[in-house]
Amino acid sequence: MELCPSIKNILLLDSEGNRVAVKYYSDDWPTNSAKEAFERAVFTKTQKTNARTEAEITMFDNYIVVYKFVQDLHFFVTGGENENEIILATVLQGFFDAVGLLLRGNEDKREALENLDLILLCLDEIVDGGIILETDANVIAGKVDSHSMDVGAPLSEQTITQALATAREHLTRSLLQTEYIPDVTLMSLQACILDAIFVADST
Amino acid sequence: MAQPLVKKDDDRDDEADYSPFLGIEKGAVLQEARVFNDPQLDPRRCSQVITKLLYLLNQGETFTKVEATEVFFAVTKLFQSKDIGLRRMVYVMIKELSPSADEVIIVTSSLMKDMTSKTDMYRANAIRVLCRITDGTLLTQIERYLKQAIVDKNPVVASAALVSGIHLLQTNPEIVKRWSNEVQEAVQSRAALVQFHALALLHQIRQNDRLAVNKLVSSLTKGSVRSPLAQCLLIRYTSQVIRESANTQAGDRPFYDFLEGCLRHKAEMVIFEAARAITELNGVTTRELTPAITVLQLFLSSSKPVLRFAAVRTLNKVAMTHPMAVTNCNIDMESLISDQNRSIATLAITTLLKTGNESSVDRLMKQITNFMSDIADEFKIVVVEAIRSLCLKFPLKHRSLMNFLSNILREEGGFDYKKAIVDSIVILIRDIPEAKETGLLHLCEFIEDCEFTYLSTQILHFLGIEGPKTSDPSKYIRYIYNRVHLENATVRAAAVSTLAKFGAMVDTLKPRIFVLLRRCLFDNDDEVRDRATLYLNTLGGDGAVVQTGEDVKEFLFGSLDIPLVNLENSLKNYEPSEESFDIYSVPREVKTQPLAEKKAPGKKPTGLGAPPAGPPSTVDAYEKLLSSIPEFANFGKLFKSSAPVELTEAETEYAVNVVKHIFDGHVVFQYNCTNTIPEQLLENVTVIVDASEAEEFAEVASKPLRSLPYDSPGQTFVAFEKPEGIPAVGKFSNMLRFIVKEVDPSTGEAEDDGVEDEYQLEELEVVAADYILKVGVSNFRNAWESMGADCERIDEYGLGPRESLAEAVNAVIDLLGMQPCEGTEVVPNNSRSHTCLLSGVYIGNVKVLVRLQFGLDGPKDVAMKLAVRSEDEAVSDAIHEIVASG
Repeated sequence: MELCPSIKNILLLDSEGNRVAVKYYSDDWPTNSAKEAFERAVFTKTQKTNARTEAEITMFDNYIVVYKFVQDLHFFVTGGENENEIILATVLQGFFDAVGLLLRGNEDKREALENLDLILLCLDEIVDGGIILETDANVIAGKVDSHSMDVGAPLSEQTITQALATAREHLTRSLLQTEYIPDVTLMSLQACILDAIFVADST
Repeated sequence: MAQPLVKKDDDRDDEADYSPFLGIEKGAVLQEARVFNDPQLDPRRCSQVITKLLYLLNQGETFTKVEATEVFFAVTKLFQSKDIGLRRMVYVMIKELSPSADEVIIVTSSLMKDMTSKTDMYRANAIRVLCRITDGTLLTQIERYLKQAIVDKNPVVASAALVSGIHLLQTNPEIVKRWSNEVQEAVQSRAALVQFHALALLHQIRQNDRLAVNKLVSSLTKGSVRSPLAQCLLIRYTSQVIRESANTQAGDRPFYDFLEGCLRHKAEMVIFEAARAITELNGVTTRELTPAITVLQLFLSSSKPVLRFAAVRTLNKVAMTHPMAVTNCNIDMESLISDQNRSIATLAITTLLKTGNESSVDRLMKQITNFMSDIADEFKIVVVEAIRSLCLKFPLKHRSLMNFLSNILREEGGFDYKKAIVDSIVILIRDIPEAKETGLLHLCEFIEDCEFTYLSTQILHFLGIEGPKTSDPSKYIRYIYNRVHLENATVRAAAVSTLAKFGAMVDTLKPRIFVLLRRCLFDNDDEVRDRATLYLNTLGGDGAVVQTGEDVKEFLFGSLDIPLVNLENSLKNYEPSEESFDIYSVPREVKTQPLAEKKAPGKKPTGLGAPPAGPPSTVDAYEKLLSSIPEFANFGKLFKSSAPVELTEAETEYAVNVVKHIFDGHVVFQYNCTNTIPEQLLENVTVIVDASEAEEFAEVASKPLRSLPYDSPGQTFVAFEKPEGIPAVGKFSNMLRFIVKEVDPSTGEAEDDGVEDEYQLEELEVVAADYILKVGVSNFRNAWESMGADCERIDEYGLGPRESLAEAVNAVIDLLGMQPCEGTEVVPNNSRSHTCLLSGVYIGNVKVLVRLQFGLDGPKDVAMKLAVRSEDEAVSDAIHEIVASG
């Protein structure tokens, strides 16, 4: 028996069984077509079940699969047939809740794809080569989301940096959308900076 | 959905299909990746491009070698950026690209800089990336940092280093083993997951040192483990220690108290892990089981499907060995039959079928009937199999169970499901004589309306064998003859054969069968007509009521004892000539494969999944290997190859195990050697065998191994001659002799000069069991009866004081090396007597059946009655000799 709990794969599929993001940690599926066949099998086997309030579980081909759905997103975690089901469910819950936090409650396929970088980092933080790294959703989401912060900087500066970053983002976004800078955008930029300075002062 | 049926769905579809990656194309993204080379990096833009690249990889797109290299070099430029978000994506990207060794060098310095950075996130991730892509030589350079990282005060950094250590242990064990002090310190960490990772690594470092594992477990079970995951690990290690110490210690089971204490842990995963560990203890007693069953019972009524599933799956396994212990949960189990999750419901039913007693069968069947209609075929098959074993357990209930099977046989279902039902009915007919007639009628009714040709022909064949032996064979004729009218050619041909069998066996029916067979002469299919003509001729007697000749019966009922593959080859080679094809010229050598044991309940697949595939037959591989060596080519047919016997301890410099190949007049030892020292190359490897304690053996040939490089196993062989057909036994001492050459690990080149050296191996024995093949029979009683008492030998033996009845049974099975049949190798707890059935093939291809009756004589003394039947008296005597001298 494998002594250390191990995860075979983590899948995030949409409501038609297409990949949003998947990560395999085992050589059981050596080719992409083997992986797709597994995903199709898992999806068809589970699509009719109601796994929206509580995580559900099934077993086939000597794998245990725990899964949970929200909107048009289907979350799966697979383990070997001798794996402790509750450990698998804990990993699933960690992934599910972390994605919820990262997407700020708007858990649907579109939002997930728009924030695919966060989802991929999230997968990277949960399991490393099959070994469970972290199962606490808050910690996982925290690690993924911490990237706009410069840890080295002192706290007050941090917020300003952050605020400026946000402002810059706003600006670039509007630039990309409109291709010219209307007065309104400049004003909102100004407001952003003022807000930031205000926040910095108050902390 | 080919046509636009619904208008209002159109715009909704548009929205649903919207994706930021719509129309993404690999070539374009690779072009975009040029921004990585910009002198003024735009972190946001770069992040987006990396995300796109990762998206493509994730969707199954692959990069060519050139593309991957280009992307990799471009990505390395991004280390210039100080943006943390971008850096994270760079790490992920590098891991995905898994660069080659010469590429790794490019990023090494950047990653090493990150590894010593003040930012925890950099340190943790750089360690993970570097360890993932590094090779052994680089590892020694960064080892110092890794050791520091293991005891880093930031848990994320420590975990990253520990997990990387677990991965590296597979490739560079000698380096990781040097970290055990740091790892041990990390086990005491206050951070839950650090403790978990440290414990996993520490155990893996020490797993081959039983004493150290023992010490680790006893110190940690006293309670300093905080993380539930680490606690689960500790439970697994503890049960491993219990398993390994079980043989040496008597009395109270060590560490049981710890497992029981874990049942009161606050984390569900720990409670469950402990409960499962208790149920899986070797020879667990009812008293030990009770607390575990109690917590699992609580899980059964949990609101979480995962908990219910875990509990019912474990209880299902317990029910196979300790059905009584699970009966307390029956009420909770029954409510699970209606569980939304069909996996849980099916497991609950099969558990109930295992634990149910005779009186509850009828009620249970009623509940299942409702349930059967709304589950998938795969679950139905599991239920059918459970019902079959239940029926074998309570033969008196065969009427209601058979009825149930015939009812579901009439309902809709796929081939596999129908086949499972038919197989079950056939097994029940075979094993429960009272069920035979009703069972056969059910099958007759089924073929009236059966859409599967395969099943129809199987049933017709079975009817031909069993039908004539019933009290009123004539009533089956109608069903069989109907097939000749209504079915396709294959089934018609099978029906003709079945009719002929009735004609041959039941003399009074012969005239009527003749009339029917004559009608078949006008069939429009060749095969059907041919068969009818053949049978009319063989039965002979022109339709009169006469005795059928023995040879005709043999022809109709005797099994074709020639392997079909061989027959096919011979027929292909046969050239039409004056000389007719001689069936006796077909080689009869069978590739031995133990028959699948259908009745052994202990070997049933436990879950819903298919049974795990058995180990692939290695006999063929050995045969090929040996016949390719000219020295051994004339030894004839390989009779048996033993399982490998280890001749060295684990973790020694050279690992050697031996496989004993038995031929009629020879024995070949195949020494499988592995060199575990990277700095050494062995050449001219031989094993010097001293056979002074094996008088009947004389060494005839040996085949040295030219060279044995590090970590790539090789074989050397030694062959002995022995008296033909005689099960000679003896002891052999072995010495490994070789020329050792130093190897420079960095270049992999060996020095020119070597030194001759020797290495003592453990002794090896050829025992009587080596001359017996484990070959099972599916129905022992039938085989026993048909073997007859002509060559039977019976004697009684006192086995002296034994630890338990089970231990005595296993000792005799091991001594004889035969295949236990019908699950009789399992001795129920606390029984005072036991009968064990064995079957095998003795050297010279003589079938042997053994019936062992054990009884406890006094408190510990075991007495045994041994009855042997075989085709040859000498063989029966030989078996007795083995036992008498063992």
